This record gives sequence, C-alpha cells and structure tokens, in this order.
Amino acid sequence: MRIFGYPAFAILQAPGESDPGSGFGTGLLGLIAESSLLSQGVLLSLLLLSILSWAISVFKLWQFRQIEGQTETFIDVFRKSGRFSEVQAACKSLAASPLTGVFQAGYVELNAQLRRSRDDDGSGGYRDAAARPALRSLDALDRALLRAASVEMVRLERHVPVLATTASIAPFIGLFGTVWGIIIAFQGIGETGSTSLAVVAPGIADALVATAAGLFAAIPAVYFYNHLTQKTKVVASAIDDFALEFLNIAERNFSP
Amino acid sequence: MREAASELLVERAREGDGLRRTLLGSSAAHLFVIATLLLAPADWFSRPAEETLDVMTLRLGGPEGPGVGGRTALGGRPVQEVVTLPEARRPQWIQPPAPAPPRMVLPVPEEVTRRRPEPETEVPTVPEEARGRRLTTGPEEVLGSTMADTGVQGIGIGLSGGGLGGSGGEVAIEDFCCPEYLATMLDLIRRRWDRHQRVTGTVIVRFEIGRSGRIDAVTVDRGSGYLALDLAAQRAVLLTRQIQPLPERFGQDTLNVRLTFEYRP
Repeated sequence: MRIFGYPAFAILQAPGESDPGSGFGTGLLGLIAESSLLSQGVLLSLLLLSILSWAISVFKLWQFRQIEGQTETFIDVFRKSGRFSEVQAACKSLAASPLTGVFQAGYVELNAQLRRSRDDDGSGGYRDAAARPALRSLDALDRALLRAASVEMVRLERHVPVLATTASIAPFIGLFGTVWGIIIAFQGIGETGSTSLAVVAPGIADALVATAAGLFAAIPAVYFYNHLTQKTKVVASAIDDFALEFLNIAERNFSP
Repeated sequence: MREAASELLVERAREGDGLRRTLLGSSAAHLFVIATLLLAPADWFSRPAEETLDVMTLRLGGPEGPGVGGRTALGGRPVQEVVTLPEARRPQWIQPPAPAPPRMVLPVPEEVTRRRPEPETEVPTVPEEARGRRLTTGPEEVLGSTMADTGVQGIGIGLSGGGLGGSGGEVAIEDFCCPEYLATMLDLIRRRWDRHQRVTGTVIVRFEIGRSGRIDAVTVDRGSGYLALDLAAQRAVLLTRQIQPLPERFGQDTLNVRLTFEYRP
C-alpha cells in the first residue's frame, strides 16, 4: 500500500533500491526534505509553537475544570460553615480554587488584626467574657483581599498570552517561509529556463507547506485563547464577588 | 516589615502548575500526528480517484442521430470546406472596331465636309448588368454544416463516436457488446423525459440495470442546482423502470450507467 510519507522512507533507502518512478515531491515530507534549511527552520519553529500552544491549552482547560469544581465546593463549604476556622481547615483540599487564596489572605489579615486588638488590651486576654476582639481597619482587610485577588488573577492568566502570541505570529512565520520558498523556487525556475507547470508547481507547493503549518499552529491557538479568556473573566467575577462577600461578613461580625 | 498575608500570597504565586507534563503530552501527540501522516495511506489526504467501477456514460439531449448508416453529422458544427463555385459569367466587352485608315479622297465642298459623317456600324456599349460587379477570384471557403463520412457505424441514437455534438460525445460503448440495446434503452428513457424546462442545466443520473432489465438504484449523481431538472431526469429513469433483459453477450450481471440529461433552451 502506498503511504503518505513514502518519500521520507525513500530517503533512507540506498539510491539503487529506490523506485525510479516515485521521486521526491510526491508527498508532504518529500517536499519538506527538499526544502531549504531556512524553510525547515521555519517549520521547526512552527512545530515548537504548536506543541507549546497545545500544551498550554490542554493544561489551562484542565486547570479551569479543576478550578470550577473546587470553587463550587468552596462556596458551598464557606456558606454552610459558622466559623472561618472551619473554612480554613477545608482550604487545604481545595487549593486549586482562587477563592481559597483570597479567603486565606483575608483570614490571615483578619486574624492579625484581631490578635493585635487583643494585645492592645494589655492583659493579653479579654477583660470580660462579653468583650470580643474587633476589626481595626476594614480598608486594610479590603486591600489584603485585593492583593490576593490580583495574585490569583495572575495565576489564572499565566501562559495564556503565549496563545495570543502564537495566534499572532505563527501565520506570519509561515508566510515568511512561503515567501522565502517562492524566492528559491523562482531562482530555480530561472536557472532551468523553463516555465512549464511541472517545473513551477513543486517549488510553489513546497513553499506553501510553511503557510499551512503556520495556520495549523495559529487556528487552535486563536480558539483556545478566546475560550480561556472568557473563562478567566468568569472566574475573575467570582473572585470579586467572593471578596465583597468576605468583607461584608467581616464587617458584620467584627466591627467595633 | 512584612504584611500578614504576604507570605501566603508569595507562596501561592510560586506554586508550580504542572505545565511540564502537558508539554510532554503535547510533544507526544505531535509526534503521533506526524507518524500518522507518515504511515497513513496516501488516499487519506487526497481526493479518491475516480471510481473505476465499470460504468457506462451516456448523454441525452440534442437532436437525435440518424437511424443507420455511416454518415453522421460531424458534431453539428460548421465545417470549412472548399466549394467549387460555378464559373461566373463574365461580361463580354465589345471592342469598337478600329477606325478605318484615311483614304485619299477628293476635296469636297465645305458644306459637305461640315456634315457629320454617318457611322458605318453601330457601336455597342457595356451591358447594364455588368456594371459595378466584383470580379470573381475563383473557389472560396465557406462556412456551413456539412455531412462527412466519419466511417463509424451509427446506432440510431446519435451515439457513435463522432456523433452529434452535445448529444453523442460521451459514450463509452467500445467495451459494450450491444449498442442496439443502448439505443432501445435511451429511446425508452427519452420518451419519458420532459426536456422542456424553463432553465438550462445538466443532470447526471446513475442507475443500474439488472440482468432481467430492471432499473434499480436510481440516484442523481450530479445535480444541476435546480430541483425541477433533477426530478425530471430522475423521474424519466424511474418511470422507465423495466427494459429488455441485458443481452446474453454481455457477461456481467449488472450494467451501471451514468446518463447525462442536458436541458437546453
């Protein structure tokens, strides 16, 4: 059976063993094998970009799936718990959720303020049983939540710009390879002095492989970039929502 | 000095995200795709070759051909041919006779010499019908439809190799034993074909003739873009339904036919 990569295997054969009726140029790899070093470099860089963008896409999809599941669980735990310490205990198993990071930052800040409030009493303890520690600065707690949200957003958006970069430059790299290939092809045509289709077509086809490879790398990158950007916006909205909810609860329960 | 939550935030920001594993997976997947490209059959990536099933291609439409005989219209196209023109009737120029040489005559009185001499013979002029006519240049090439001896055997349906233009051009009957059978089949189908439509187009209908002469598997192989044309062509074949059994000389059990219906204004 004739396979698509037949010309590649023909390279490995000794010249005497090769089939004289089927030279290079009849398949994709034959075209690549015949192309110039620069064209091969272009194709290699596009392959690397494709590998990277697919790896990032798959990883981020997996990450967002994990985030969505754990965020839902975290919200459930948070709303059912009567104490922040119970939520804090659950955070270890829900570390993938960005809300966990926001909550922990707020919890640490809240604890720090309450501890200082306790220390300011001078006795190191409560003066009476009715007295309870009070929040010293709601703004400071807000800022801590804001910082945590910012860190979580950076985590969410990490590696996504690589997709945008791939989507932008891969077609241009491919186009560059094509233009270069066509230049080489026309030089060859000029040397042979023939303008027949049999002479022109292989060179053009060889050059166009680079454009095809560029589009192969760019199209999935565009799709996944838009998809992941949309998911990031949804999670960012959930983070803002949770931070405000946390602030309200803290103000309601720990205001002096 | 350090903010209370700073340590936690820094720790979360530094957390590894496991991208390395997916990078390895992506590399493996790309290698797999490349290997698939290498090892896959070539026809996966190219249009499959035209089906080599033994299918007869016939074409309906256009005028019907002659019943018998080897003289068929040469594609219905105008043909240049040298035609011998009849010899044009050239006007005969009548040369007036040369004036007679002067003769020695006796002087005559003046009143006699003034008189105009009467012409001895009447001089004929150029005939009226010869005026303004272009001189002929001999035989000329003219355009016209002509019959030429193509040396082929007509089968009465315009299906011979050099048959009617547009109607008998695509017939592969050289492998088929019995052109008369095709003539009958096409005649039956043509009777049920409503060729008079408002639009023009070409429909290719594919069907199968069984050993018993039954027509099955009627499908529109290539539509014209107009439902009415497609249906009219398909209907013609479906209505025919049963024709003569396949000739015994034809060895196969079925005869696959692609019939082209041409709708012309």
